[in-house]
This record gives sequence, C-alpha cells and structure tokens, in this order.
Amino acid sequence: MPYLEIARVLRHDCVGPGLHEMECLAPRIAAAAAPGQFAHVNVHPVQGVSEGTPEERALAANSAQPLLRRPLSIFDVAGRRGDADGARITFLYKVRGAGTALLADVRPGDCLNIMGPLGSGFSLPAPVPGGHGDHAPAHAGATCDRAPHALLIGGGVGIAPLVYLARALAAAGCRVTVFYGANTASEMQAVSRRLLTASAEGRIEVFTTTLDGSSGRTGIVTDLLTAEQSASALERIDFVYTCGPEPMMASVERFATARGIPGEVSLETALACGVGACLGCARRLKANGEAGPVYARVCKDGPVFSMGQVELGPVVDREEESK
Amino acid sequence: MSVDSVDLQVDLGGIKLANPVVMASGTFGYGFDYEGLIDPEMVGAVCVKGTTLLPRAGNKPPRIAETPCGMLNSIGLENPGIDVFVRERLPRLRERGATVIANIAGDTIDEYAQIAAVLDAAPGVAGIELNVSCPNVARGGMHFGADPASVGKVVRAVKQATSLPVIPKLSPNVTDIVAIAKAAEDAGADAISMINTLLGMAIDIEARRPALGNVFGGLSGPAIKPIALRMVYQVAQAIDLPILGGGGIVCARDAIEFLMAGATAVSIGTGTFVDPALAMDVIDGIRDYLARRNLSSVSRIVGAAIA
Ligand SMILES: Cc1cc2nc3c(=O)[nH]c(=O)nc-3n(C[C@H](O)[C@H](O)[C@H](O)COP(=O)(O)OP(=O)(O)OC[C@H]3O[C@@H](n4cnc5c(N)ncnc54)[C@H](O)[C@@H]3O)c2cc1C
Ligand SMILES: Cc1cc2nc3c(=O)[nH]c(=O)nc-3n(C[C@H](O)[C@H](O)[C@H](O)COP(=O)(O)O)c2cc1C
Ligand code: FES
Repeated sequence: MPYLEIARVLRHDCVGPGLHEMECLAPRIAAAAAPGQFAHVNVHPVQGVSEGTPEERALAANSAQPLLRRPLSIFDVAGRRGDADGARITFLYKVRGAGTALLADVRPGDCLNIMGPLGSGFSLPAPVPGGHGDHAPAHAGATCDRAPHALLIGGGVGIAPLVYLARALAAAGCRVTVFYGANTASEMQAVSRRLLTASAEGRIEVFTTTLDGSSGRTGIVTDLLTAEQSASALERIDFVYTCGPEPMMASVERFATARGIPGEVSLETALACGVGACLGCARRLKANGEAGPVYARVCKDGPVFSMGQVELGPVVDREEESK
Repeated sequence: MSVDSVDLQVDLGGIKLANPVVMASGTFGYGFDYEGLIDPEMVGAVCVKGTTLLPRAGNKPPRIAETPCGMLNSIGLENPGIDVFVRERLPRLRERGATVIANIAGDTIDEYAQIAAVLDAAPGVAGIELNVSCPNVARGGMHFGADPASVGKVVRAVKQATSLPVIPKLSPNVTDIVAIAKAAEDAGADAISMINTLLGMAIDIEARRPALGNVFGGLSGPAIKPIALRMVYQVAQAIDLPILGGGGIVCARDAIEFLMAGATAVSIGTGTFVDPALAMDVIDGIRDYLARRNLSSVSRIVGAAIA
C-alpha cells in the first residue's frame, strides 16, 4: 500500500554536474521501502500549511505546470526503520527537463508531497538454511557452500536504485561486486561516499569506469565484463542486477544469459499514475498472449523485471509490431 | 451550519451516490490501486476502466505524453474483457460496498448490447456508462459518438438489454454536443456523462516523430477544463437529464464550478494522478463550501450559474 507523505527536505546538495542528492523526512515511506522501489514526487513544494483559511486551501489548485509527478528511485534509506521521527529517504537524480529542474530549486526546509514506496523492487535474499552466511539468495540455490555473490551494474544515474540494494545484500551476508560507470569522476561522489561506508560494513567491492578516464578504467561500464582487472570479481556470480541506459542493460543481459546467470533489470519510462491504475507506462513483454502482444506496467509490475522478460534496446517501443 | 448536517447525496439517473464525486473511467483502474489513499467505497461512485466484449492488448507505447497543463493518452482500451471483469474484478468492489459504474465500449451496436446484458445479470453494478467517445480505438468509440443518430441507436440497444441506468459518455470532438445529448435523451438515456478527452497530439522534436506510439491521443487535465465546463453548461440547459460532469478537475473549486454549470455529480480523472487523495479533498471542499453558506444540500448549487 502506498503512503502519501508531506516530506520535509532535510538536505539538498548538488553532487556533480546536473546531479542532486536530496534527503527527505518520510518515516512511513522509509520504513516500507525495499531496494528497487521508487517514490512518485510532486516537484512543486507544498505551500505552508498555515497559509490561508481552510477554505482557501481546500479550493486552491496545485501548480499545473508540469502537471504530473516524477518517479525517483529510493537511493538510500537512513534512520531506524519504524522510527517515526527520524526515518529518511534519499534520492539521487539528474536534471533532465522541466520537472527535475524545478525540483533542483527546492530548498531544505521546504516540504514535498511524495507517494511511495511503489513498484516491485529487486528480489532480495531469503534465508537459506545451510548457506555459508546467515542468508543466501533463494535463487542462488539452497546448497551454497559459500556466500552468494551478486554483481550490480549501474550506468550513470541508473546506479541510484543499486546503492540501497548493495547495502541490503551486504547486510544479508552476500558478497557484492558493483560495476559503476559515469562520464566523469565529479559525477561519482555521492555514490562513492555511500558505497565506501557500505563496503566498510560488509563485502562490497567497487569497480568504476569513466568516459574521460578521470576515475577507474577509461571507457564504458560494460567493458568491465571483459576486462582483466575485474576478472577475479567475475568468478562465481550467482545473480546480476542492472539499471541504466537500455543498450547497456542489453549487454549485461547478454553477458548473464551466455553464462546462465539469472538476473534483473530496472526500467524507466514516463509515468502518469505510478500505481498501476492508468496503463500508461506499458512495456511490451517478449511472450505473446492470446490477444496478441502482452504489456506489463513499468510502475506496478516493474520497474524491476527478470532478465529476458522484456525486449531491451534504444528504440524497442517503436520497432516492435511495426505492422 | 455544521459540516455534518450538509447533505451530499445525489441521484444520478437512478443511481444513489453518497456524495457527488465520481472516479473517472481509466484513471482509477478497478478501484484498488490507490487503496489506503482513496478507497472505492469512500467516493460517490467508481467508473471502472473501459471494458470490451473480448480482451484487448491496448496500443503500442509510448502511451502517454505530458503537455502544458495536461496530458495525452492513447491507452487503447487495454482490458481483460467483460467476463474476466465480472468474474475477477467486480466481486471485490461489491464486497467493499462500492458504487460501481461499469464503463463499456463496443465495435458494433450489438457488442454494446451484449456487454450490457452480461452486466445486467452481474450483481454489484449500479449503472452502465457507455463509452461512445474513446478517441484511441480504430472502430466504434468516438465514431459512434460523433453522430446523433448512432448515439441514439446505441442507447436504445443498451436500454433494451438491461434495466440498469444507462449513461452515455459524450465526446467533445464534435461540432454540436447539444445535438448528441438530445439524441441520447430521446433514446432513453438516464443520465449524461461528459466530457471524454479531446483528440490531440505532440511531437518529439529530437526523434522527429509523434510522441505517442498511436500518433493521436486524448487530452485531459486542467487544459480542457474551460471547454468541458462550457459544454456542461450548454447541455444542462438543453436537456432534463442529470449530468456527470468533468474534465480537468484538480481542486474543489473546479468541482463546484461544474456543479454550478449544471452537473449533478463530478468526475475526477487526471487530477488523481497529480494528487492521489484529491477526491477526498474535493468531497471535503464541497461540504465546507456549502456549510459556510448555510446551504443544506448539494442540489442547492446544481445549475446555480445558469441564468
Ligand atoms: C521507476 C523510475 C525510477 C527512476 N529513478 C530515477 C532516479 O533515481 N534518478 C533519476 O535521475 N531519474 C530517475 N528516473 C527518471 C526520471 O523520472 C526522469 O528523468 C524524470 O521524470 C524526467 O522529468 P523532467 O521533467 O525533468 O524531464 P521531461 O521534461 O519530462 O523530460 C526530459 C526528457 O526525459 C525523457 N523522460 C521523461 N520521463 C522519463 C522517464 N521517466 N524515464 C526516462 N526518460 C524520461 C523525456 O522523453 C525527455 O526526453 C526514474 C524513472 C522511473 C520510471
Ligand atoms: C489514462 C486515461 C485513460 C482513460 N480511459 C478511459 C476509458 O477507458 N473509458 C472512458 O470512458 N474514458 C477514459 N478516459 C477519460 C477519462 O475518464 C475522463 O473522461 C477524461 O480524462 C477527462 O477528465 P480529466 O481531465 O479529469 O482526466 C481516460 C483518461 C485517461 C487520462
Ligand atoms: S503509470 Fe499508470 S499504470 Fe503505470
């Protein structure tokens, strides 16, 4: 069940070119949020609750431009779960158009109307008796003689949902390898900070690539799938998670499929309702049904899908069924 | 006057609504997607997603595009078909005591009548909204809604197939909406629902192609409110049937405008995407407005702006 919270913005920092990290006080959403889920954010700050008479407030419309909410992944959750006063959610977002540009102007102290947590989220480790750690991913098989190993591959701001996931997997006793690619090192600070803290807590190893060579290997993140420097990290992977540009995710899917490794991808598309009511975010599944194509809702059936479930690619929505 | 003594009940062509706020078809699924924020039994009625005789996959994506103060959609009536609706979606709504208005669409007049007959036998349906105005399907839909004689035929056929209240939903994509409304009234409609979306388009200038996979789509949201309001005002003066009015409602003020233009109840669609709890705020806002002016019931303002 989604919650609607008037969330006070506690911190809002520019953390790279066009990149912002925003922390909000949203105890109910924070307590319920699982890695891979998202929140649907009204980018217009809520007017002060004390402004105007009750009738004026009841009659007043919200700003209509842009009209729709913007979906943002849960980048991290902080504060004790269920801590009514303290639980916070953090977003990492890139300014793309009018909506995210308006959001970037929101100041600490302002309040935002946020709905969440929404969507399916990543498959998470289930306790497996006999596993090496206390927990092992159910999909890694029940007879593990070692900690299950998850590979997380994020391109650009697509890393956002993978950071919370990495921390959750590490906390559950998994070995976690993160491949993270960006344009340049200055985009990576928010993620690096969090993954460094997390790697101190558990088993997280991070490899980076940048297009300009300012951090890690020069090139794109999928180069790491064949690079010598990451070869040892590619041994015995039990599960792959990826989020980022679709051509990137398509390469990751090919890599995983070729090795018979199961995995999940997280998709983006424009949303309207965000809760599964409008069927506006439809994404065609590979399998056909009796009535022809079958569509899934990115907001409700996704944004996380099993590898192989949907066709990935830059123009997948158009090239399909060009009758 | 205290807010509690305001009477919000209205009668929409034989359907008793506890309050005049109705969730618009296609924007509230089958009633439970917003559970906890708006429960289906809390609003006056829920118009469920448009249902056809057989399942429909819907149009190819992208299906939505945001436009100034509004949005375009080209969903294409994706739905599991009338049998699955009755078997799997309706019981839960009935158990919750929701007032359900089924929204139906057909390719032919006979299909409308067949679906209506199935609904007639299904417990838990309070009325049938006839979508003769969907801009997103190749056949039926808006093509029926553009011609007064066809609208009359659909209404007559459906009235024969069911004893449930029948509410044709009119398309604004016509030259003279009053003529269509009159034809529906003459054919025996119990109420009129208006307006459906306005046909429009947007172009992605980077890709140099239409923003929607289906090229054209239906415009909804605040951008269409002045048009919707004008049409309700015109139709309310021309016919004697109650009107379910809407298009672009995003606050209680908008809803009150529709009531004053002659609508007996209002429908909220796109506004719910913006503000998921909007329907509850609108119900409260209408109640407050009436209480402060010592108006005992909603009926006191229905049509109040008509000279
Ligand atoms: C489940 C989900 C989680 C997301 N999580 C994050 C996140 O954590 N951080 C982040 O930076 N972004 C995230 N996004 C993408 C983000 O929602 C879009 O960037 C944002 O909606 C763009 O809004 P805008 O008004 O700034 O741009 P617009 O003016 O709406 O659009 C600018 C450009 O972006 C494209 N666009 C619009 N909406 C989307 C979209 N939803 N996905 C991809 N392209 C889009 C448009 O086609 C246009 O070319 C997520 C999207 C989804 C569906
Ligand atoms: C995503 C979406 C799907 C819709 N689906 C239907 C439908 O299946 N049947 C129908 O009669 N109207 C449908 N409509 C029209 C709405 O019910 C409503 O009449 C219209 O959107 C105008 O109201 P609004 O501006 O409040 O949204 C749909 C509208 C939207 C935005
Ligand atoms: S955005 Fe409405 S169903 Fe996904």
